Amino acid sequence: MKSASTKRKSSVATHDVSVASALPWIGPALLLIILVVIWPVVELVRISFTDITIAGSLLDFHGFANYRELLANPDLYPVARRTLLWVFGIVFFTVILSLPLAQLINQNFPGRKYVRWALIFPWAASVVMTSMIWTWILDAYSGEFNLTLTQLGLIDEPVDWVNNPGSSFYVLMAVAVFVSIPFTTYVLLAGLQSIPNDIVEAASVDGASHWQTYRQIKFPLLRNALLIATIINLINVFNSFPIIWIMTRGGPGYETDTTTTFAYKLAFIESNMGQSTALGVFNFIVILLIVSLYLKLTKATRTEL
Amino acid sequence: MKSTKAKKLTGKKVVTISVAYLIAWFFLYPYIHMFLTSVRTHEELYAYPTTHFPQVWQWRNYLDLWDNAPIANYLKSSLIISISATILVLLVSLPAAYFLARYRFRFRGVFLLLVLATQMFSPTALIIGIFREVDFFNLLDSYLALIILNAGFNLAFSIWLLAGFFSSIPAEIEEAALIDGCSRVQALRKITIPVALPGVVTAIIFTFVAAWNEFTIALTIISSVDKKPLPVGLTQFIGQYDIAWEYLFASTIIAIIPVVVLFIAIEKYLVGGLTAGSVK
Amino acid sequence: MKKLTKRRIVALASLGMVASVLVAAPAQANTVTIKVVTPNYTDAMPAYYADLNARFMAANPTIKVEHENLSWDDILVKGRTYISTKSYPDVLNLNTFSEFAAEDLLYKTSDLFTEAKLSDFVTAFRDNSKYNGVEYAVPDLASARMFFINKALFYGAGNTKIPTTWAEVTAAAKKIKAKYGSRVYPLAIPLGSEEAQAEFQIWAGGNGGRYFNESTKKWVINSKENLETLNQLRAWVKAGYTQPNPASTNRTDAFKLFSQGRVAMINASVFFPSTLKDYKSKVDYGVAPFPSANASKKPITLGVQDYFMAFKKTGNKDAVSKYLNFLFEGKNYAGFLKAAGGFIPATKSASTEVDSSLLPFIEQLPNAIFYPGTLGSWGPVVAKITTQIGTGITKNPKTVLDSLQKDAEKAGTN
Repeated sequence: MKSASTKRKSSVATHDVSVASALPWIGPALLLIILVVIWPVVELVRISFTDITIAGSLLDFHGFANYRELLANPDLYPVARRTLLWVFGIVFFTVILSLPLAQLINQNFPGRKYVRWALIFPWAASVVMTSMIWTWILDAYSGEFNLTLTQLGLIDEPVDWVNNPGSSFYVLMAVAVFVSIPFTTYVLLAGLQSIPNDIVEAASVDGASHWQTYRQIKFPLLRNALLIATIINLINVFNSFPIIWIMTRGGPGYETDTTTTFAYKLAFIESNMGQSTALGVFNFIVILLIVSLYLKLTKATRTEL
Repeated sequence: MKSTKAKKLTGKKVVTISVAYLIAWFFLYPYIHMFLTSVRTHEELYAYPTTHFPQVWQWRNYLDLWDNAPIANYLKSSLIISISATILVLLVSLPAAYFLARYRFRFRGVFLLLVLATQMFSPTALIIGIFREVDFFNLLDSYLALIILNAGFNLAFSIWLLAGFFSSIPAEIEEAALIDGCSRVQALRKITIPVALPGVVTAIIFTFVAAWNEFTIALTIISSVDKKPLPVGLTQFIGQYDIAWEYLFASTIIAIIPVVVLFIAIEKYLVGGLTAGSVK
Repeated sequence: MKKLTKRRIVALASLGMVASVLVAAPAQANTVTIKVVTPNYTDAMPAYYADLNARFMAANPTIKVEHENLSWDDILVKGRTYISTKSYPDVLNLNTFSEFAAEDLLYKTSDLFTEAKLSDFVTAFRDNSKYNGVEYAVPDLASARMFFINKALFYGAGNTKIPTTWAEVTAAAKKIKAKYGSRVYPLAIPLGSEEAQAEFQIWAGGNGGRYFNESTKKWVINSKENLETLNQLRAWVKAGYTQPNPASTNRTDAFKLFSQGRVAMINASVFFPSTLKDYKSKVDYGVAPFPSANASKKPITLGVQDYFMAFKKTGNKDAVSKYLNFLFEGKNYAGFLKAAGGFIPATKSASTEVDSSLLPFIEQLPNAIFYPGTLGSWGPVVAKITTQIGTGITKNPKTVLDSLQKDAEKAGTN
C-alpha cells in the first residue's frame, strides 16, 4: 500500500459537489477552527487597534497608533534580524542532520528498534521540561557538561555556556535543533520507506554508488516528505517560545529575544499590550509570507523537473 | 537492499551501529540526566563540584512527591483532557479529511488555507483573546474549554495527515463496497478507516502528546487545583528563591513515561502513518 | 524545607473543608464566592492556604474561597490576563498595586480594616501603600538587604574589616582575588532579569542614587549618581572581581554560588539565612550594613514590600474584608510569614516575636529606601529597568540609563 500510494493519486475519483453537501462533513471542523483560532485572532487584531491602560484595561479604538509605536521601538529591529537567524538556522540544521539520521535508522542493524525508541524521547517530553534539563546540564557550576569537560581536561574553569554572549544564542538554537530532529527524522524516514525498493535496486544494478543512488534517486523522491517537514518546522520554530524563555528569558536585555518572546515580554513583563498585539499581527504576516514563499519556490522547482 | 552489501562490509556495519548507538544515547541523555537528578537529595543539587551520579540515591523523592503535591489529581486531569481532545479531533477531522480527499467543492481551497493558517498561530500569541472567549462562554476553569481548545489547535495536522492518507486509498475499493450495498458511511467505516489505520494512529498520538504537554492555555484557563493538568500543576515546585528540582524532574519522568510507552506501542504505525501523509 | 507531616495534616484539613462545604452549601442561598490569587513564595504556600481557607470557610459558611496559587512568573502573566479581561480577582497578593489603584479598581484599605487594625501595620510600609495619598493596599511582608560575607574566604585573604565604602570593597576584592585566583569570585553582582532593579538600587542608593525623585516628582534614572554606580559595577566586572556574565546572573544563581562557598561578598536579602539553611550550606557567613560610595555618603538598605489588595466588585466588600482580617489575625499571619520563609513582618505585633536572625535587618529599616511603588506607572517602568539595566555592564552605560529614563518619562509620573 505504501509504495503504491504515490502512483494512485491521479486515479482517485474526485467529484465536484456543492458547498451545502460539504457542510455536514467539514462543518464541525470549520466550527472548531472558527471558535478556537479565528475568534482569538479577531480579538488579537481588535486589541492591536485599541488603546490600553498600563493595568491592561481596554479603552477606545486607537487606529494604527500601536503599530506606529512598535515600528518606532528601536529594540524591535535587532530582535527581528535575530529571528531570521533563529528560524532559518534551526530549520537548516534540523533538516541537514535529519536526512542522514533518517537514512541511518532506515538501515537494518541489530538494536535499530531501540535507537528509534530513543529518538522518541525529545518528541514525547514537553519542550518546557527539555529546556529545563538542558539548562541544568549546561549550568556553569553544577552542570554535568562542564564537569565532564573539566575531567577531560578540556577546560580549567567553568564556562557559562547558556549566558556567555558568544555562545548564548547558539546554545538556544542547538536545543531547538535537538527538539526538532526527532519529528523531522521520522517524517523523512517515512518518506524513505515509501520509496519502492525496485527503483533503488535497479540503480545499484546499474552500478550506481551509494551516494549516487541517494542523490539521484532517493533524494528527489524525498521531496514531498522534505517539503512537509520543512514547512512544519518553519512554523514551529518561528512560534517557538519555551526554549528561549526558560533558558535566558530573552536576556540580557533583548539580546536573545526572537519576535515571539519579544511579543510576550512586551505584553506580560512591560505591560505594553498594544505593541505586543501589533507585533502578534506582524508575526502572523511574516510566517504566512515565509511559508507561501517556500511553497512557491518548491513548486517552481517541481514544474521544472 | 542493504543487507547483501552489509554482509560484505562488516567493518562498515560496525561503524553504522556505533554511530547509531551514540546518537541514540545523545537523544536519551538529557532524560537519563533528568532521572539521575530526580533521585538526588535537595542539598546535593547545589553541591559543588557536582558528580555524575547521585551520592545518595534518594528514591524516596518519588514517594514524597505524592505527599507534596496532588500528582494523582494532576495525572487524572491530564488524562481526561488529552483523551477527550484526541477523541474530539478524530470525530471532527475524519469526516473532513475524507471529504477533502474525495470531493472538490467551492471554497475547498479557502478551507484548506484556513486549516493551514491555524497552524501558524501559537496559543501564546493568542492567549488574551482565548481567555476572553472562554470567559464569554462562561467556561473558565472547566475541562470542556481545555478539551475544545486543545482539539482546535491540533486539528490542522490531523486533517492534513488524514486527507493525504485517504487520497492515497483508491476510491475503487469503496465504490466496490457501495455496489455491494453498503452505505457510504458503512463503506467508510468498514473499508477505508481500517486501511487508513496507520494514519489514524499517527493523528491520535500527535494530538495526545500535544494536549498532554500543553502549558500556556491550561495555565490561563484552569485555576482550581483539582483541575490542573500535570504541566501546570508541577509549577508549584517553583518557589520564589528555590526550585525543588528533584520533585520537578521526578514528576516530569512520571509524565513522560505514559507518552513514551504509547509512542513505542505504535511506533510501527507511526512510520506508516507519516508515510502516507508525506506522499500526498 | 519539605514539611511532610505538616502537609498530611493539611491534606486532612482540606478534606474537612470539602466536607464542610458540602454540608453548608445547600443551607446557604446567598453564598458569596471570592477569588484569592497569591504568589508561591515557597512551596509551603499551597498547604498554608489550604488550611487557612478551610478554617475561614468553616467560620464563614456564606463565603466560598476559590484560591489560586501561582509561581511568580505565572502570576505576572495571569494577573495581567485577569485585569485586561476585567475578570478581576477579589483578593490579590502581588509586588505592585499602584497601577490598579490608578484605575480605581481597588478598595481603600479604610473600607476593609478598622483604623485600630490598620495602625498595627508598620508605618513606613503603610506609606508605601498609598496612591495619591490614599491607602489602597496593605503590606504583606517586607525585606531589607545587607552585605553578606563568607568569613573563611574574606578573612582568609587577609582582610580584617568588613568594607563600608566602595573603595574598601575594591581593596578587599583585590586581596581575595590575589589569594584564591579564579576558584572564588570576590563579589557577586546578579544583574539578571530576576532582580536586577534591586541589585542596582542598593548599590546606587549608597551613592545617593534613586530611580525617582520624590520631592521634584521626576524620574532620575540617568542621574549622575546612577551613572557613577553603573561605572563602578563595570569596573569591578572588568577587574575580574565578579562572577562572569553579571547581566545574565539571576539572584538565585548568585545565592547558589555563595552557598557553595565560591563567593566572598554578596548583597542579600533578609530571607537569605533561611535559604542557606535550605541549601544545607556549610558557609559561615557574616552580616554587615551595606557599603556606601564613600565615607560622606549615608549607608542605606533597600526595603521591598509586597501587597495584599482587594478589587471592587458588587457584593464582595464584606467577604474580602473578612478574609483579609482573618489572614492578618495573629496566628494566621504568623503562619503566612513562616510559609513565605524568613521575611520581615508587615505588622508591629508580629515584629515582636521574630527570629533573631531578622533583628539586624529590622535595625536597618530606619535607613531603608523604597522603590517609588506608589506611582501608577511604576509597574512597567520597573519591568523595563529589571530586564535592561544589566546590559549597562557590556553596553554603553549612559545609553542604557538614558534609554530607561526616556521610557520612564513616557510612562509618566502619575
